[in-house]
Amino acid sequence: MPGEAGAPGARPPFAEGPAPLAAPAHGERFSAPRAKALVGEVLRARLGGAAYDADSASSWAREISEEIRERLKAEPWAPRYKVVVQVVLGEQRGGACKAVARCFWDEQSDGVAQDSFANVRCRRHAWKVGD
Amino acid sequence: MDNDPGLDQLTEDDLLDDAEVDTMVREAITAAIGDSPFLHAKVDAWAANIVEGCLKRLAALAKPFKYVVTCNLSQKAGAGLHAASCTRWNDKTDGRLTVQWENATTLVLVAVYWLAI
Repeated sequence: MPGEAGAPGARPPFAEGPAPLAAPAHGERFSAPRAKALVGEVLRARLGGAAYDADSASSWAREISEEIRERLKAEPWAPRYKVVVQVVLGEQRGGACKAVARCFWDEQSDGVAQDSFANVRCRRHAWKVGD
Repeated sequence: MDNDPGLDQLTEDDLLDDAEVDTMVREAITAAIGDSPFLHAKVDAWAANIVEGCLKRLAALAKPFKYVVTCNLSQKAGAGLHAASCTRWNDKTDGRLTVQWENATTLVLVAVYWLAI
């Protein structure tokens, strides 16, 4: 099928003309369980056994979100989707914290996967949205 | 109409304005919490109200975008909090805005992402 290679965020490589808004085919659909497993792996690998450190926390958060995005780009459904990864890293000091998310999208094609990691000293969750 | 091909067939007017989104988010937060002190029992309702308030205002713009709104509500207890995000999208049309809002006892962090359809 003619088309240029897709740069991140570019339209899918269809034939020339306006991109049709067809729903993704079965093999091309976002897989929430798979994405969640991926997110969990990255969190555990990066944070297992770590204690909260104010100086490194912001670079941890950024590195984790970048690693999750790179791993998601390698998934088979990735070319059809835009990806948003958000990581929130908080120190556990007895204060309460609540996180909520809502989305306004197309249920048939889009999805979210989230996972969280908590240890005695450090808590975070990461999630990803398909578009 | 002469559109920049990078804009995915959107016009300049279709794009979202950061300042407008910022105002909407702050309105939603103030309407939900205002000056109230942190109350464990109300946290769920506040977070839900903030997020839904933001989404309603965004949807009312009737622009060709999908939206993701996240809200982190924490009690001020001296703990550190960091947020990072990373995206794969079209830089020309898509964007995000984070709003950090606080009162004496509560810290609210809202992130809004908009992605062109």
